[in-house]
Amino acid sequence: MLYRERYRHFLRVACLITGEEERAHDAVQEGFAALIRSRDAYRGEGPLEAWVWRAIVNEAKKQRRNPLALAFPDQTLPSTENGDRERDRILRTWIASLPERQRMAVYLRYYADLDYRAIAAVLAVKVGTVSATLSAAHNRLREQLQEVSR
Amino acid sequence: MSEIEPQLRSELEQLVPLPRASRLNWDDVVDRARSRRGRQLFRRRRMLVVAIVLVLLVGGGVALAASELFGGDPLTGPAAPPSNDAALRALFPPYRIGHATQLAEYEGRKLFGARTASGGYCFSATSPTDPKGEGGHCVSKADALKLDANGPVAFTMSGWSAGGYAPGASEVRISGAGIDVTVPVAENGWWVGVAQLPLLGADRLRSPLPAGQDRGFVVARSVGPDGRMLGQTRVMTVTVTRDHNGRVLTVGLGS
Repeated sequence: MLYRERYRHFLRVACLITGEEERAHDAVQEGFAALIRSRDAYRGEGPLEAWVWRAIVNEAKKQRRNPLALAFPDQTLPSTENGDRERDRILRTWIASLPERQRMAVYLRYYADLDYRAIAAVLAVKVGTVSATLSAAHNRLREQLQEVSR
Repeated sequence: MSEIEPQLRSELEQLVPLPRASRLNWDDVVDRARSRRGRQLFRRRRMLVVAIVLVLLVGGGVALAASELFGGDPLTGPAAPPSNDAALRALFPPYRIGHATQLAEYEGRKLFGARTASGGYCFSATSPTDPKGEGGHCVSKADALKLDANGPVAFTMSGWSAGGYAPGASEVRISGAGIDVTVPVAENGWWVGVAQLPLLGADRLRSPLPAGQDRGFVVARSVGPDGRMLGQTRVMTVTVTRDHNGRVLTVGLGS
């Protein structure tokens, strides 16, 4: 079952959006509860998993401490256990500096492991837009890496 | 797929590993779904009554009377460029945002604002890291009433942008939680600036806030042309949460 198999992925992305594990858990639970209540609305037009992700991402955005401020400081990312601190710092700065849509696309690509079609369904945009959005995010990371190596 | 993706995937995985699934609970999901259904029916009826009352009140010209009493629309300035106008409306579709006005500009940041169909106010800001203005803020009902009465407000948006309204002031001093910056206030009373928190230390045991505190406030003090302080408005609340080892887990921002 999707809930059981992917709960940890849902929780991780919700935690990145809300900044708190407690709120993230609530977002996952409420997201699934909302899907149960509106299950008749699913027409099978897109991937089921994308439909679920959309509900959870929307719920996580609602649960944000300041739901209308779309700022996301780098400190809200949980700490890492690996030793490459400089590289970690660059990645954190990169994620923190991304505009909202690029950041969401990065989360869904790398932390939810979704393909471009599913990401497009979650973000309600075209597949080409997802490709362009991720490409812009990657370019920004390359620029930041070049700045550091200078 | 980009050639950068495989390496990036592995690095990001290390940066934020999968959490434990200790709270997995399907029964809780089902309970939440059931308990909401009954409440939804009651809420829908109550919302209908409230909506009718609101329409009558608004239709009766309460908003118009208030704005005439207190001095008119605070959103004065040139019309926003079409791209920023569209970006602000796309940010919060449910609010049915009207056309945007460019309110202030400072050090590469621009503040845009517009009224909503229900009489509220929404704002967005462009910044060097967010040139399209994909982040913004819609003010609370209390702040909307303040703006109707030409009172001061302050808020945060994306890319560390902060903005607000400080009529009669020549500058605003943003301070607290390790932030200490001064930004000019435009002639129309609006301002935009940066309110970036200090970065965490490498050990993550110490709070980024001054004196290692886990809670702090950022305020905007408006200063008149003669140097006198005119008032103070809260920009945001900063709250640090820690894991069981005392390491900083998150730094949350609230309004």
